[in-house]
Amino acid sequence: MSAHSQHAGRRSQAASPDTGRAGIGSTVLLENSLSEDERRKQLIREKNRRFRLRHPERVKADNARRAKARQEWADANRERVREQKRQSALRHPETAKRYQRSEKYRLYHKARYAANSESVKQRAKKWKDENKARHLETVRRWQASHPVRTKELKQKCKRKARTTLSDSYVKQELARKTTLRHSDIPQELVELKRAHLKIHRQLKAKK
Amino acid sequence: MKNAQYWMEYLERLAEAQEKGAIKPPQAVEMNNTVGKAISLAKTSLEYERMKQKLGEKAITIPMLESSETAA
Repeated sequence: MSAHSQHAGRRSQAASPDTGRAGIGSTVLLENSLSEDERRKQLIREKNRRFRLRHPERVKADNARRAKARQEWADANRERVREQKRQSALRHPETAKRYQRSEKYRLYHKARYAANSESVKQRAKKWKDENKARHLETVRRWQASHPVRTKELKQKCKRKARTTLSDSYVKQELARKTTLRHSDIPQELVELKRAHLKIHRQLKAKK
Repeated sequence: MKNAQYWMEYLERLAEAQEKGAIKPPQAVEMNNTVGKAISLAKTSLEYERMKQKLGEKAITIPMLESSETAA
């Protein structure tokens, strides 16, 4: 038996002093079943554990240095990190979903949005423009799974369009009972119709 | 719409007069309806243009809608 295995054996016996003969026998069996490589790994693990106990400050400083280096690397390789995360989410969809539902995820994204709302909006818009089909599919899937909320949101959106006389609402009014499409209507006509509707509403309120 | 600018100015004047009380509401309604009719005419003109493009040579020409006064 090598010095390493003797050492490991003594540790096993010391850890369970009341095991008796059977305990010692099982330890020996375990020792025999471990390969040389495994024993070496076990020794290193033990050595590291002792080191951590003896020098907690050094370990802490070392961990901080490693975390900083990791962050620096991540900052310098943002695209690569993003791709890695995307691949990981594809490989482990359940874990990704669980993370997305977690409080940690919600808080992180809330803080990030608050700090960079403009750039986040711009990026989201850019992505939507570039991936129209995918975006539409996602929206439709969400709408199919949330019919009540969808109805509420659509009503809210329509109400807002009516109140503010949005371009789409005015175009809808102009295209009603005609064969015109929204793209056929020039902006000047939209502006004119908007002014016409405003005056119409004012007069209606005075009646 | 070629006459949009003219009708916008017309509506601005109407709104101002309305605020000052220079025009009574029934008259203002009539004036606003005139703009509504102009918009309807512009819509008809747009539709006509659209149909003409769609049908090509088969389209029937309507002289009144062809004139520059009514063209969208």
